[in-house]
Amino acid sequence: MAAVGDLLRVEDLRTYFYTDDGVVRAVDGISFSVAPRETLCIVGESGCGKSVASLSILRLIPQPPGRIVSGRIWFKGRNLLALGEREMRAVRGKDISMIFQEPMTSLNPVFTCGDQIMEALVLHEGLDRKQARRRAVELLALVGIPSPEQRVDEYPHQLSGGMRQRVMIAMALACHPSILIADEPTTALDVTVQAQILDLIRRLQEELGMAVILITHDLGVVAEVADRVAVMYAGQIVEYCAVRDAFKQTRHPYTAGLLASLPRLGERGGRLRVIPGTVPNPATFPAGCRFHPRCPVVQDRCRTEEQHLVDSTGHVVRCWRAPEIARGALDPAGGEVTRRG
Amino acid sequence: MTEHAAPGAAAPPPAAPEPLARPPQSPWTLFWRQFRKSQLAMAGGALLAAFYAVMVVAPFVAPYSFEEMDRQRFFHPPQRLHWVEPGGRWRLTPYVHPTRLEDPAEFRYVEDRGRVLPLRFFVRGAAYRLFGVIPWDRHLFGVEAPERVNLLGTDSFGRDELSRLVYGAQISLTVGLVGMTISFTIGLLLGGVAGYFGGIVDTLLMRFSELLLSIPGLYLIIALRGVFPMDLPSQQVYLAIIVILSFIGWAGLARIVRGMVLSLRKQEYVLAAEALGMGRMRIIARHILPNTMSFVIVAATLTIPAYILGEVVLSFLGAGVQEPSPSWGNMLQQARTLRALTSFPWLLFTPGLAIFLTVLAFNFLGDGLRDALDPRKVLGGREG
Amino acid sequence: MGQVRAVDGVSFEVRSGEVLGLVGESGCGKTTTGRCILRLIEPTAGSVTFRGQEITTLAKRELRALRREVQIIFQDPYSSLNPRLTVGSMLTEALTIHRLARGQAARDRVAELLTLVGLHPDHARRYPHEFSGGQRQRIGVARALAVSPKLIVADEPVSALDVSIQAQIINLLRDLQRKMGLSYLFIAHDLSVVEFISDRVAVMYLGKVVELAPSAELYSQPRHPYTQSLLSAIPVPDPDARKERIVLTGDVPSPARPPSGCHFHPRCFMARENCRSDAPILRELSPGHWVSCHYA
Repeated sequence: MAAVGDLLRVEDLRTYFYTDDGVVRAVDGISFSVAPRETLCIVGESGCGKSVASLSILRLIPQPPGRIVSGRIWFKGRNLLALGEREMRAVRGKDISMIFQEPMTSLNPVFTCGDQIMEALVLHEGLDRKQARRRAVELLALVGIPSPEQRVDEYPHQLSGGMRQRVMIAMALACHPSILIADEPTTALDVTVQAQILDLIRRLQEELGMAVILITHDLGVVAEVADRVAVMYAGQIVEYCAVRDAFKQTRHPYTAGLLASLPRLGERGGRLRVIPGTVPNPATFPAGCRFHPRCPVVQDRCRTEEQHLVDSTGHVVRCWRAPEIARGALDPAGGEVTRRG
Repeated sequence: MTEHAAPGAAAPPPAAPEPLARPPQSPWTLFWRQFRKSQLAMAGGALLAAFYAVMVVAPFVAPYSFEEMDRQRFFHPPQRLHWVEPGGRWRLTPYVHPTRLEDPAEFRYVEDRGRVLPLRFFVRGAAYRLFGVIPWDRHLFGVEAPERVNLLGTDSFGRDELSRLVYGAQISLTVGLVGMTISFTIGLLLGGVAGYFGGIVDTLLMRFSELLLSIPGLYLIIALRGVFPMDLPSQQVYLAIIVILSFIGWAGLARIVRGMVLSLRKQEYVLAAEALGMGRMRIIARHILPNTMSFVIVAATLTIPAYILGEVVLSFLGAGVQEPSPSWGNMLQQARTLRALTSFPWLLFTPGLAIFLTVLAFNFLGDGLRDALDPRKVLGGREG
Repeated sequence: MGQVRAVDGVSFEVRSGEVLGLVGESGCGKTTTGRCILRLIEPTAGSVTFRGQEITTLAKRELRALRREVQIIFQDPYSSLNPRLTVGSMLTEALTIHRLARGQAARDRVAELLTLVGLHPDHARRYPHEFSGGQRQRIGVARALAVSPKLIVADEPVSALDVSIQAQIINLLRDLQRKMGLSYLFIAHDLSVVEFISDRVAVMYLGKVVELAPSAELYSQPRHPYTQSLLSAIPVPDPDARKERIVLTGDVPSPARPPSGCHFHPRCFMARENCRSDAPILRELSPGHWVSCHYA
């Protein structure tokens, strides 16, 4: 699963939250890796732990009530989880950057956009204000903001949602990070603006040679930008493979269910296939496979034994019935098996 | 990619919806669960419950009436309770030593260690009417006549401090409660109307409330007291104080309620009620005001101490409850001189401690209520 | 004092038993349109007729009668239910206002409504915070159905829900529509969802309808450049379909300062000189297919 040239490798990460209602196992043993210049999409629905996973990489989890309980995160030869806070701060914003979903609340309304970009430059690269400002203007141009010399002195409320997101990207890229983590960067944006931002991220990735970890719930976005996909459910990765395999050779019933429940353009009427039931309460996961109460192809074994990851040539699945599915003998969406042409 | 299976193919039928496993959790259940966690709040609540309980049965708890003077015992210090007899034996019930006046000029008393006055319970004493209705003459504790016991000492007229404290509680504790209830109601109503209807109604009400708020509270209280004749009988003074406090107290609450109503008005469930055709007053009463309750309860609880202190100030200045009726405020008048503070400190500590504990208890209670009623913690937020 | 023309000359009709989809991005005025129909927002000008009756001039009592016929489902399952009322109280309230049922009859009707939307009758005793987002949305649907309306304005009913729950709610809405002969004005920004459930679709941009056509035709032959851009911007969940995308420049302008002439001209790839000065009108280019563009 992990290749030698990996830029980031996460091994068995567990992040738990200790609350009055019990222990919430938000991230419960996930492992994945990202190669240079690669885009990994972590996809899942609300409550699956994808945001917590990304915050854990940068160790931004609030310490009570949360705690990174175990795991290793290898980055440039060091385990990020073993670093002291000071060393970690040197990584954040410089080697690994993050952008968030809500540009309005991620940008400080009392500072100009320029100031916020310059903050990272002054902090990590030691530039003085004049140099930092020049660089900030360059960055704004890089992310496609028109008239950057004027925009650099404007405040967030003077910009539209799409532009604020670009400013956030500029802030994140200020120090040439090797990895950009983008947590639902386009969810709050209109469709046409979303297209622009995704385009921008792709272009910047090529120009700057970055790796991107994109967290989203939108399978369309995944298909557009991902090289590899990790599907999360109830704190675990249930399918981890190349993007084409995720869509065309789906092996996990949850992934298949998600794909089947999307209304596709050009397919009117009829009923949508649904995954019955709802996501389990993270304080009380079901025994055995966490997806089993909703699974169309559940078996007795699934109800009692938690399954291991099955890796066949880079396509990792967490399902007892994965071998059958891989052979083509079982449809993970629960339908009749038809011969593929 | 496996093809879309034909509709109706082997997808499991949607599970029949089950009743949720836990019993219904009303917002009040959740509130109580959260409230219980704050020990300070629970302690404050318990203390206040005890104070109010004692106040209700004041004539029973107090060994003497509030105006009974004992000319042999001016400025008597608090008497110590003893649990060990002179012989060394432990007793179940405490006793006190009778005292005699040694130095009339300095009001120094000396215990007569030879004699023992056991404290008796449910003794017969002066008659009274419990709750103003039931005639009775038993008191919680006392000593055999003609001796007297003053567990908290006596004042300059020889009146028992403990009895006066307990009777005084009837004034001081209720003024706050009644006054708050009245201004609470006024503030809620006016704030709700101002917030929901807006426009000229809102403007008028808010400007008027600002007028009230801009005058410093203390001076306003005193000035308003001056409106009423200085020598009103006790009952009427009491009512006058309540009216004054209510009159100035509603403004702050009204403004805050108005702010809350302005934002609640935009909530979609209010729109839904309008879409259903509900009348405006009904929407205010059923959908908007109940959702301000959590804030209002906390604000009320935290303002009651201010009302209590308002009464204390008025009575201390002589403008409130008049002698011989006791209130914690006018009991403090006894402690006004330097001599009183140095030679007879119990005159200060008795009412002072009572006021202090009450105010502290209300504050702890209010803090606990605020945390327990915090909608973000209690009612849950977005998923994921 | 500026005026924001949130909805600027919008005309359409919803036929009995049909689902009309209304799509557009933020600031296009679709939510305002929906709320005007219920007179939750008072229209500044124009007419809204329901079954032949003009509703913008209705008096209070008649407006209340209208509320039985036209209802609304909101977007946010978290703020559309009063946290202090039980589900049962909420639904009973709807029945009480219009004197539809009382006492046991009301309780029975509440149980019926809950079952209709896929919940258990026992849920009537519960408070909103005990339910998930999807379940709350179902409660919202039940509340809208309580008065047995003919038209339901569904204002982004699934936008705040997870993908797998969206499918459940869409199916529910569709089933209810077929079973009860309802009409919907289905407002959303997600085109795939709208196409799936609608018979006809209207596309709005900055307060105006730019295209209106039967669903299948809109998606297979979009005529207005905005519709074309919108369709091409939707990410398709198929990695092999990475397509030619029309990427619009600039952001959606603010409705407080709309561009002159055709509102879309600054971002339009087909724009020409007169687009800046002349506003186009909605014309029927082919039967049932209306477009507002000089050069479509």
